[in-house]
Amino acid sequence: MEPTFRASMNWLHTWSGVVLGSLLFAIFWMGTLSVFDKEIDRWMMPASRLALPEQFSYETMRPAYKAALAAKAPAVLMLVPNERNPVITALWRNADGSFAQRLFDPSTGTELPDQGTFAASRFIYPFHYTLNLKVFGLGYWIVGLCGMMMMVLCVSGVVIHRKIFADFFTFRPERKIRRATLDLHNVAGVLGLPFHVVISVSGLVILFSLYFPSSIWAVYRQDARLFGREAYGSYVRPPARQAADLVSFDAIVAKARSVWGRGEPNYLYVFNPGDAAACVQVNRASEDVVSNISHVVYVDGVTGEMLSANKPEKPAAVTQRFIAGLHFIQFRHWTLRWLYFGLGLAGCVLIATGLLFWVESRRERHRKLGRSGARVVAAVTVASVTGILIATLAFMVTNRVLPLGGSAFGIERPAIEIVVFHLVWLLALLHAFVSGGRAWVGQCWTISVLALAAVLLNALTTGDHLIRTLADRQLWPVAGIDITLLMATVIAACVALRLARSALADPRASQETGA
Amino acid sequence: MMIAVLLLLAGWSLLAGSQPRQFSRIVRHGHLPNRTGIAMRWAGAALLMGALVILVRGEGPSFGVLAWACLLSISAMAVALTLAWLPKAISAT
Repeated sequence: MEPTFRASMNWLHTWSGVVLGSLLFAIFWMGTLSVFDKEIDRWMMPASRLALPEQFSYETMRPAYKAALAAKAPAVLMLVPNERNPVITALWRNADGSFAQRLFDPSTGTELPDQGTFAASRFIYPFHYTLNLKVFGLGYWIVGLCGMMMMVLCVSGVVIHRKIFADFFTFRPERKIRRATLDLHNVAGVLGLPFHVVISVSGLVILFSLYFPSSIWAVYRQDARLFGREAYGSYVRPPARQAADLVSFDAIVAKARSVWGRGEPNYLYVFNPGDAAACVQVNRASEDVVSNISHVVYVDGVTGEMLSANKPEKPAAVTQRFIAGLHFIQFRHWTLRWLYFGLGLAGCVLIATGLLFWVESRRERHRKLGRSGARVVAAVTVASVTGILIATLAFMVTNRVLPLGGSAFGIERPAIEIVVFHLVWLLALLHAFVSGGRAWVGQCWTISVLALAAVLLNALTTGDHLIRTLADRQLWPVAGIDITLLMATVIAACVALRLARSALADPRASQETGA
Repeated sequence: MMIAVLLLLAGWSLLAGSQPRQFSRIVRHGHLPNRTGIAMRWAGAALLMGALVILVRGEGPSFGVLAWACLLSISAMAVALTLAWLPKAISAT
């Protein structure tokens, strides 16, 4: 036990940061990329770079429904095309339990060729809340722990910061690296504090039924259906085991609109497809509100009659949906989307500088005492920060290099991309261990080269070069990704040059760091 | 939105300038009178609140407050980074 409260908080802040810092960085990095998940999808799935039709008929979703019907899916979720995701996306589980996703043209309804990638929606986005560890839901629990610890880090960070107001704007890049790193850590932490707290709390609140199930059990016991019905107005009915065709999707949406008054649906969820008891859940898109509110209407799939419309949500559910909305950012507000992206990057800077400060403040002492702690944390920090950036870029480059339908050693295209991501991340860790302090320079150059290669490969393999994408409004998402990659190229090259120059100017320091 | 951003940058700049440490970084050997510092602080806070009013009126209460909270952080970081390199830029000119 430390002698004072502040010293105890300092111990807690230091060690929880060192132990979970790498995981937190991975979660923040993937979460930050998820802000533009649909745009990354467009970049990685060239066939989906389509224009939205001026007049969209929901009946265009019929081929997607029929594809699920042919696969004997017990339910099919169909995402309505919108500005960010201009394709009809159908998702279902096959009879054998495997997951299927198909894309359809929003103008004609014809199926688009399989793009052979999980892209951002199915790899980067789920990574930030599951780490893609599905066994026993382990990923959810690890990320939940990290979310809790992020709040602990925020609170303990404020407690241990003696001159929080005096240092409010203090960043002195001209000072020694240790001091400058701490300054940057403080600036990113204090000035971004509201965002870091809100994003951590809201992440936990979204999955409250997993992390705090007792809140539901206390009132509803084990009856999750009753909870869903009362909180969100959900509706279920068993299949009738009699074949029947679905009414027009336009009629279903018109029925839902008669309840909402205004607003368009963001998805149609057909339960019991092809059955006389088919019902369609239609959810109003929350593009014009912060809250991720569920305005759900259930329509009989055969008669077109309304079965249920969600009752006004209870205050607790309304609060939960608002906090969830702060995290999900499903609203249509480009300024806020970019601000979230910037603040997410600030969170990455906060975590990276925290790890770096730990290493820099112990490196010399550990070297003299013959301890390997600082060296191990230094290598893990390099792999966690620049390593995951390299792995992400390798994921994108692989996407552009592999031919559609390609496979190797029995591994299909989407899995190859993911294997490359993990393999490159592991190689970055090995490189960091072997190279010591020089690893930062080498990995920054690698980021620069890979980011540039990704832009060039996109232009070569799709013909959508920057001039073309900038000129065409519907290709702006692709242009945005390319410009961000080019900025990464320049920034990483500048950092690499500066680090290499300081290593030359101070060979003693670079010797200590292994350069 | 642009006016709100400018108000936030101006507000944070005044708040930063009201701190003796930041003031002496910008104005070499400069002395900030106590009264001026307090006045700058109030003016800075007023500008930050002014940005909130503009955003709430322009974007509505939910989006306005959210945009203000996000811009508050980003603009403060922008001021901190500007102050970091400003003395070097001033001495170079």
